[in-house]
Amino acid sequence: MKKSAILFELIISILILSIIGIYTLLFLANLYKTNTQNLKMLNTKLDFQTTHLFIENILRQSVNIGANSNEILFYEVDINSFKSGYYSGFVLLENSTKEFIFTPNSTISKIDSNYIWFDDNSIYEIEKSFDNDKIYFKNKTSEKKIYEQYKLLKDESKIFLKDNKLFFNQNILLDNIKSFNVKLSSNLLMIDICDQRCFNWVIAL
Amino acid sequence: MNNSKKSFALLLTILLITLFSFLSIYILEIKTFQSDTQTKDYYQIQADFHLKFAKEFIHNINLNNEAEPCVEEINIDNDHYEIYANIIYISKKNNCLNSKEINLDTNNSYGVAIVDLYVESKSSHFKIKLHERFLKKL
Repeated sequence: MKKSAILFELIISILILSIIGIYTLLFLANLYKTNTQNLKMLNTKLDFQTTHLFIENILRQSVNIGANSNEILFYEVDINSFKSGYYSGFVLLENSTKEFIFTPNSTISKIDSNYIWFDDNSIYEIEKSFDNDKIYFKNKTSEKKIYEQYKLLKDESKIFLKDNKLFFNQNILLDNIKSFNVKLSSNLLMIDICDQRCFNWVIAL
Repeated sequence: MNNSKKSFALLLTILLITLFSFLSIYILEIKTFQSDTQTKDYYQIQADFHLKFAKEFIHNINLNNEAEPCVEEINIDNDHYEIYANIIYISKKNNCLNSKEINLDTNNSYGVAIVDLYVESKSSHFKIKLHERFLKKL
């Protein structure tokens, strides 16, 4: 009688402990699932935030920005050459002609840019030059409006959506993107981008 | 019989504590990552504001005052960021170091100042360094 009571008590205890154990494990599994989801969301948010920052920075260093429904077109300024001091960005107007501009304090032979941009938004194609303080225009005969400050540009770049991937030229910025809509109004660029969730970015140009 | 009960309870407790510990570490890692990301974001935004302010400030000062010595460095005091600018001149100024002296027709232009502006966080953990180079007409 006594042994059976102890056995019964043992079974009840094990049963209660097992129930506690199972519920605690369920609770832990739930906590793990919630936190894994949280981490996944955080990573996605971080990817979007990084892309936003990247697009904002690249557009800030770009000119002639245009947009149609799902792509952004722009000319990227060769900012690395400028920061490295390979070109000064200053034109000595009195020494310049329609064939070339004279730009003191520059090492033009180190530059690999294709276009030159002036304040009135005009862009001219340039030649590879080994004459360090001169930048030669490709079209030497046409009339040009030259300003005191200029920027050198690389080729035309674009950000676009293709096969659910967001591209910057040939590079993938984001994967699994369902929609990417762009609207340009005066000096604001509005981007609506969606994967599972949607984000709305406003970039001041 | 009583010993089996105790061992079972002990085993279950050890198992649950171990699981809890691993999970706690995992949760703490995620929380720290989240908090780090937010702080870095905050530092980046703050540094960007300082950069814009300093750029505006430099644009508004007169760097072409003949009577004053050549301004080649500007420092702005801040508790959390080092904000400084190095300036190179392409102009008729001949009293500046690291500057290119050129012959200019001063009726048209006084040349330009090439400004290298830096904003750097003082925090040893959250390193942010922004650099912008721009031209200022003299």
